[in-house]
Amino acid sequence: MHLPSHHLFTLFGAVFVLIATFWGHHEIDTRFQMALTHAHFTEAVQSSKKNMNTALSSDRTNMYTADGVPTIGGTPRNTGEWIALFNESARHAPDGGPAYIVNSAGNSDTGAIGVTATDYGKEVQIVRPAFRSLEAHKITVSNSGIQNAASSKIKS
Amino acid sequence: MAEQAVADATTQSEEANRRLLSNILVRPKYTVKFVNYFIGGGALAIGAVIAAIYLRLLDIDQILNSSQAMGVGGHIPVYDAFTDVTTIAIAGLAFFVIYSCIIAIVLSHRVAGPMTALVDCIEQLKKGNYSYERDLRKHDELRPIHDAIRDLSRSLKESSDTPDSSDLNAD
Repeated sequence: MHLPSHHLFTLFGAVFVLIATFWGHHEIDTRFQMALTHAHFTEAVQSSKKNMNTALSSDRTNMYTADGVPTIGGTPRNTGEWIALFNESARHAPDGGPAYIVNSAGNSDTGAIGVTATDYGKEVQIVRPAFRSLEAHKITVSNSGIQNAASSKIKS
Repeated sequence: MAEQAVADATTQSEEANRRLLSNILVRPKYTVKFVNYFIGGGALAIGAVIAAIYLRLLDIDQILNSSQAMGVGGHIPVYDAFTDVTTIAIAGLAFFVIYSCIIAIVLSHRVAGPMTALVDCIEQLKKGNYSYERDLRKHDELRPIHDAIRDLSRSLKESSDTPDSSDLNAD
C-alpha cells in the first residue's frame, strides 16, 4: 500500500512515541532492579556490621548492645543463619528467587546476593553480583573490620 | 420499483459518505498542519524528556558502582536520582498538556474565524450580493474553501453582469 509522506510522518510520530515509552519503561525498570539489588547488599553489610559490633567484638554469648538493646535473633553461626538474619521478611531478588543465596558470587541472572560465612560465622562474605550494569562487589565483614574487594577479584 | 430505487439511492449515499480507513490519518490540504503541530511539539517534548531522563539514569549507574553507594546513607543519592526521573517525566507530561491546550486554542481560533467569514459570504450569496468579499487573516485555516467560495461568487457576478442570450434574441 502506497502511503503519502504526511501519512508516513504521522506514523513516524506514533512509532516514535511507542518506542520512547517502551525504552523509558525498560531503562527505568532496569535501574530500579539494580537499586533493589544494591539495597539488599547494603542492608546485609550494615546488618552484619551491626551484629559483629554488638556481639562478636566482646563476647559471642552477649546478646545485648552496650545500651542494653537485645540483638535480633542472636549471633548467626553459619551461612544459613546469616541469611535468615538478612532476610527476615523473605524478600525476593529482582528477577525472582530469594534475595540472598548461599553462594560465593551471588546470582547475576536474578540479582540475588551471595552470602558465605566462615569461621563458625565470625566472618561473613557478602557479594553483590554483576547484575545488569552493576559491577560485582564483595565485602567481608568480621569482628576485625571490613574488607572490600574489587569486582576483578570475585570469581563465579 | 420506486421503493427499490429509493433504497438503492440511500445505500449509494451511505456508501459515498462512509469514512475510508485509508483517510483516517489526515487530509493534507486541511489538517496536515494540525497533525504537524502536535507531532512536532510532541516529538520535541518527548525527545527532551528522554534525554534528561537518560542522563539521570546514567548518574544512577555511576552512583551504584561508586564507593559512595557502599557507605551509610549511600541509597540517598540513588533515591534522589529516581525522584528526579519521576519529576522530569511529570514535568514533560505537564508541558505537553499545556502545549496541547495552547495549540488547541490557537487552532480553534484559526478555524472559528474563517468559519464565521465563510458563513457570512454564503449568506451574502443567498441574498444575491455577489460582489461581497471578505479576506481571511494571514495564518487562518480553511483557505481553500474560502478561495472556492470567492471564485464561485466572482463567477456568479460575471454571469449576472452578462446579458442573457434569451434577452438578446428577444431584442
